[in-house]
Amino acid sequence: MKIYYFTNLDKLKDKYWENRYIEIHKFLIKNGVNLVSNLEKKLSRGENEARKSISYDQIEAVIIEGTKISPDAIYVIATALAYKKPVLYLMEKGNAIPEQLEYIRKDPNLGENFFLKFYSKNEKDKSSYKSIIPDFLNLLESGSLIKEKVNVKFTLRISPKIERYLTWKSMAEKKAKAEYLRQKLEEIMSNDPEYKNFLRKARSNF
Amino acid sequence: MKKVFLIFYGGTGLYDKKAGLKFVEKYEDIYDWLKLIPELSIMAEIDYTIIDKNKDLLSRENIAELLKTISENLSKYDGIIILHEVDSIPMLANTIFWQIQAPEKPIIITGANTIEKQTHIIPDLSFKANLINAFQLVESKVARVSVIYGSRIICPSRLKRVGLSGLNIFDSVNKQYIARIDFGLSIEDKTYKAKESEYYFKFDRDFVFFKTIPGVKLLEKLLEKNNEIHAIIFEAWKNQITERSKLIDLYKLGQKNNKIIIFYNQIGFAKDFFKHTIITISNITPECLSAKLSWILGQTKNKSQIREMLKKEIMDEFFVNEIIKD
Repeated sequence: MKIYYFTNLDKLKDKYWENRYIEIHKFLIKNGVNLVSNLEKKLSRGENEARKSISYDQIEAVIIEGTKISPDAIYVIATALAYKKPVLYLMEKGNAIPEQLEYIRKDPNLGENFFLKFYSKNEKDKSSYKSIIPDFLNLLESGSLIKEKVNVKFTLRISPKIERYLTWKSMAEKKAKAEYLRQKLEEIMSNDPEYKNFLRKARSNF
Repeated sequence: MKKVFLIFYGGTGLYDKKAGLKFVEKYEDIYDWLKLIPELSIMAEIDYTIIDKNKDLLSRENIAELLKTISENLSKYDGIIILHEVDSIPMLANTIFWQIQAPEKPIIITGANTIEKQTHIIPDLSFKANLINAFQLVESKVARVSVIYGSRIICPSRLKRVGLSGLNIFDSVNKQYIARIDFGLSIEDKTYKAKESEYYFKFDRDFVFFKTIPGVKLLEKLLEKNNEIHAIIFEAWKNQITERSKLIDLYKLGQKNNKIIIFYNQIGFAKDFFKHTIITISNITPECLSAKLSWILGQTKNKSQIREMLKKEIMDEFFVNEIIKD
């Protein structure tokens, strides 16, 4: 899973925030996340600048440590939301929510993919970022947030009888066989109350 | 919160899954159109206007109205973003680049690359991101005229169209960019120093630009003494095989009828055979040359001044040409 991790680089001079940003970075790596971050570029003093440019359509979500909001954070959020990428915005408990973020939370279109979470600085606490981030990653993996790409391949063995039917049906519907099957599965999925219930629970638990 | 002035001047094809493809055709459409990109309202306060592109995309009236709108509003906002059809962005951007030299605030041009096929329209899915990036460029205070598309922010004088569709349909002729975009802006051209801002409202596009030397009858007509054409530009073929005697004859006819003849290529001339006759110009994009000549003709009709201004580097418009590819 590829994620963009964004921090306020202006706060790197402050040891407290530098340590926090790096701790979260390490935690994400430890959790198997394929990470792209503005932090890496800064810490390596520009050595990574020659890396191949990647964009929002190549990542699955954005995580921001935004207790001390940077002006660029708004653009990162706006672009991620425009690309329909979920955003986890982390704030240390005891800080006020910036006005612009309140607007995002209240907007029905923007708020859908924007998750603002307060975390406790006590790592052993249940509301530490060490609990929030894995929950967010689980939610992503459940597939209920990410706009799915049709890129999973597997082998399906069918009988000649089914194959004949599939060929006949796909011609009649003027669709590729794979497309016809995908649509049928999507119909089943969207009409499955038990699966809907499962997704609803995953979201509300976060 | 930053204040941005949006000018709708074509290139507004915005795709929304629920609403479909939405265009701004008249002022009343803008409110609903903006509602489809709520992301913009978290970045800046937005005011807007529309230039009626239906008159004629780059008509004299429209350009005059656009320049007036920019000059009246630039001081009131942190930046101006102009939406325009991507096909004519190079010409429009260069026109603004010459008429509003070294603006005190960012003037950014972008647009939706909506492609009309015979049976359907292909929307530009990167348009929202381009627009958001334009807002970010206002925030970064890069006080220049610039074009944003895909991952590149390019100065109009370096702009070159390189593709019909895709992430980057524009490139810089010498690979120099104002900035690049991935998860934020990386300003590359940090050495840029702006001169004092100058606004020019006069321009004159009564000249013609040929890819090759046209037939004699047409030329005689174009070079008639009493028509409105001030200049004719011929672009040299790539292999530069051109009958020099034919060009000298043209020059003489032009001289007799008070017309300027310009011989142009992008690569440069090894020998300037025409340095005392025809004006030779190179190492500049055709759109930049057109906009520069239009600006010059708006300021003077004196032939020796025109020659001098065309040859002189005024806005860092000439570039080193090794990288040009067709």
